Amino acid sequence: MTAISMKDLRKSYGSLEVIHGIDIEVQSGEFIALVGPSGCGKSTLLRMISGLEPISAGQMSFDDQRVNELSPAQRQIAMVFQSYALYPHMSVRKNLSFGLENLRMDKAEINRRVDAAAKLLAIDGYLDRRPKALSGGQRQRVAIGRAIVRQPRVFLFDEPLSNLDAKLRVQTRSEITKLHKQLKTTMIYVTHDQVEAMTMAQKIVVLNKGKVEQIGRPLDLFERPANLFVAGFIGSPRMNIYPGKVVSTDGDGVMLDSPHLGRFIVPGIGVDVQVGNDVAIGLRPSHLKLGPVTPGTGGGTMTVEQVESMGHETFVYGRTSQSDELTIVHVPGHFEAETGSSLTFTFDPVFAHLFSSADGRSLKGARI
Amino acid sequence: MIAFLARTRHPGRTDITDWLAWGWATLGTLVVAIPIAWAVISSLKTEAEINSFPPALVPRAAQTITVEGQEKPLSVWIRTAPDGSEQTVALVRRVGLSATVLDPAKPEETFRVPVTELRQLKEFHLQFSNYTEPMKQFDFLRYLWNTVFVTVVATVLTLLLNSMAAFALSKYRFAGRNAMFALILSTMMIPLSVIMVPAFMVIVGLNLADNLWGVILSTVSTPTGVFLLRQYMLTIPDDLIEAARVDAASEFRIYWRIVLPLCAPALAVLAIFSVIWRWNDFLWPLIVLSSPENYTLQIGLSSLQGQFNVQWHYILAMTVVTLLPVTVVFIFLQKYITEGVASSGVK
Amino acid sequence: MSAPASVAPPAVIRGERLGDGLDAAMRVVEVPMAALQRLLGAARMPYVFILPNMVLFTIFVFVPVGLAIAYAFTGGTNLLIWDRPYVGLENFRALLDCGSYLEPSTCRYNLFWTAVHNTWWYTLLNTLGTLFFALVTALVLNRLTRGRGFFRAVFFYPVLLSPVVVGLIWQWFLAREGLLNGFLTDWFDTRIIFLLDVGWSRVWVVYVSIWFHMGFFMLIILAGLQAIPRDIYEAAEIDGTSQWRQFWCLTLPLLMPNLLVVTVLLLIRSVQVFDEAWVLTNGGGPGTANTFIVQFIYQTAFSPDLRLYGLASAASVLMGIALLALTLSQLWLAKKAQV
Repeated sequence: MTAISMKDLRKSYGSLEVIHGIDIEVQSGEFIALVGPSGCGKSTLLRMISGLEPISAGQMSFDDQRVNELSPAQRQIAMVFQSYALYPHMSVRKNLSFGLENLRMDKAEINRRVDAAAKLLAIDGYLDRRPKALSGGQRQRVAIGRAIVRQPRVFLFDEPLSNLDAKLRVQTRSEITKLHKQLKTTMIYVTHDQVEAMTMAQKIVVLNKGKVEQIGRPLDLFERPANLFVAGFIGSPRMNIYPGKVVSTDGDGVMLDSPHLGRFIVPGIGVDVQVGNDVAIGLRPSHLKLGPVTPGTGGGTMTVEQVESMGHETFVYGRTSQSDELTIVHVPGHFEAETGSSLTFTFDPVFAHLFSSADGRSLKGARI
Repeated sequence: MIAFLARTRHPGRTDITDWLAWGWATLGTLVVAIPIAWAVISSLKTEAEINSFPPALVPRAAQTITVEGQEKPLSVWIRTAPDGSEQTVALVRRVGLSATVLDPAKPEETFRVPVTELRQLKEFHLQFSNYTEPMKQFDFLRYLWNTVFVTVVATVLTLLLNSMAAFALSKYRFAGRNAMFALILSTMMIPLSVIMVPAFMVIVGLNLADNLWGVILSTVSTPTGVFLLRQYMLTIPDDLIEAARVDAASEFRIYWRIVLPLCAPALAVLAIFSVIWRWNDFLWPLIVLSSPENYTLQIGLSSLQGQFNVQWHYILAMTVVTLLPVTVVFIFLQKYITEGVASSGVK
Repeated sequence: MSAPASVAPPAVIRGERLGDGLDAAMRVVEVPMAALQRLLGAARMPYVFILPNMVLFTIFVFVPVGLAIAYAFTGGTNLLIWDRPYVGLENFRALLDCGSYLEPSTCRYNLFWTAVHNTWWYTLLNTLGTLFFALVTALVLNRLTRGRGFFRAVFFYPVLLSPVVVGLIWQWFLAREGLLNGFLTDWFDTRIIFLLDVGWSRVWVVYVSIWFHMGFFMLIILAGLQAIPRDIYEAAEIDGTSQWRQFWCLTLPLLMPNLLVVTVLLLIRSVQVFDEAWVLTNGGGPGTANTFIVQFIYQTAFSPDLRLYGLASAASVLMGIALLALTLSQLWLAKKAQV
């Protein structure tokens, strides 16, 4: 049970700075996920937390104690690697006990912990095998087991599920969540898969280009993305984004005009919105409905390019006139449409997200 | 047989070049094998046989017979009488051109015959005492022990020190790494023959002259070994090293428990080479070692050649003993060795 | 899962036990190394790992290189460098003092120039001979579909023998009572004392060298041959190219970079000829017919009645320069071959 505090963390290789001042507070026992596209610095940040990567500037503390200069062992962290990094020449038992032997722990205690972890993860049948003789899922468990036996202050996961097939990934996802509930240890989980982050973490940190874009609970990120980047990154399929212009503002809301969506009024108070400003309008596919535009709603017409029906739900991909971006509409149930046919869609302006075109900042506390 | 030979690049079509290829390979095998086989055969001959000319193709010795009334066993000869009849006789003594013989059936009767009527009977015989005698007579066991000592110690140290250097060069980033690697590789360009005089001065300065450690220490660091191991270690994922670091292993323990075991194939290749290098080393031990009790096999053997120029039966036996370990190693590890040489270009 | 999971493969257990056993023994080294790591920090540990090697290289290679150059400028017969007088270029001057470089007898150190001439001829013949036999053998083996592994092993085997063993085997083969003279007596009723004849002994020194080292170079050429993509030949086959033309127009040009590297490697090795020739010819005989540069250096420095370390070092430096030039050209060629 350890709280972690990062203050203005920076990492540079020579003159090239890759992490530009990151502040994150992790509560004791929290499960947080670091997400972002590849190259955003999430793995580097995790390695800085682990102590594998030296910290160039800023401060990292575990329970208010500065750990910048401490080695991974001294920080008492355990890490599950993307490749699992199991020692190929050691049996599973040895893989689990190696770290404890390094600490010169009592033999009996080592055996007790290894057996307990093996039982917990249901790998007690394979303790005398080499990793090579195990399946991907079993190796994954061994990697987690190796972390558990250490009884670390913090668990670090570096994309641990990316080498598993889809079915196993879903299963392991819930197992890790269960494990967290059982152990109540602080966990930091790096992934590029926002679904993983949304389903597992209590708190998500969205990173982009070495900076924090937003920190919040999964639902907060979904409903109130702080900027265009988070809006585009969280949610699947992605949010539809359209250009628009502010026509007028009054107490009720902001009137917008978009070549794709027509004129409509977004209720609620805009944060420093000026008439004439260029804005980006974001609409989740699930908030678009097929049907004629009625007064008080926004909407547009698109040419259908592709229809993906899953049976219980359907995604319709189309293009509004003069648009480069695809519009995605989520239709509940099964739906069919001819490619090339024209469809009208509509939406309740309440659900529209507004972002400044200039810097991508969210212009309103988004509404449901 | 024809079908076997005909299995060439174009199945079913055998042209003259295929026959030439087989001819060349077979002839080459004979060229390689005959001198070695000849040395092995000769090493099993008696001293008398080895000096007789023309040489016999199989090791033989004079056939002897024990005859009642004679103290020593007598050699057996065939006598061709002037009338053309042949008779087996035992030679009692020989004076000039006449010999005193007897018929083994009637041991009491001796008679004289001209030597020209006699032809000696020889039988197949392997003179194993050629191998056992030098062990007693010369310091051969001593040489053998010295060589084994040098080979084993130098190989263990080579594996240890070279792998440590390779570990540093492959798994760490540190100031001066590339410079050190270049420096180590550059020693490949400096053969012993160029620096043997000052290298010997250094040995004298370190008080290691005429000392087996002088032979060992100077050969322990090999650029080839460092290079070979470094290349192999580069293929070990860094994740493993970091996992061990997270597992609270010290850097030395990472080297000892993770990297070294995973390098086993490369270590095996280097070990084979190191054993062969050290076993066969000649020029450097020749310079460093001066007293016979410190000689290695190679030096001992070459000094035997000068000392006992006529005792070829001993020299050849010891030559066979010397080439035996290398041969055994080669027979069992042939694939490793040829592939190691082909891929790394080291010898 | 399905397999009887609790039964451990004995090999795994055995390996683990061995590891634990060695582990206990290694504590002796591990504990001080861990202490050192605490003292220096993990980031400085690579220096600790590389230190023993660098120390040995320094003592036995770098220092001697420096000393070789220093010794070359000193005279006298004292061993220790500080007891030796500085003589400037005198040693080099003495070595290079010659009426005609083509005629060793006109030189002040005619043995040196005899050795240089012998080495030069040896290098030329050995390089050409080895290259020829290695190339042909590699081509032959590359062609064989059966028995390639066996013949490769046979041809490579001599490479692993020691120079002393090779020298002795061949001395015996060529001896007065040797097998070759046995055949000569049988067939031609004559005997030749090969190693006491100037011409014959030189021929046999080169021949034995080829016999000894050919397999190594054959292996390198064979690796080069096998790196040539098969489909090139198949394309040529379809075009109706004759085998002879395939060799001249495809194999040889594609193998050329490899052959150039082999050639320079051969030159480098040949210049350093010593061991097997020394044993085979009983120390460079008959007379000085097979005395080579390395033997000259060895004798000049270590013969009890000479001990001319300065002169020997000067000869070493001259040979070192030649070898350096060859090595650099080899590196250059190897780099070009990779491109």
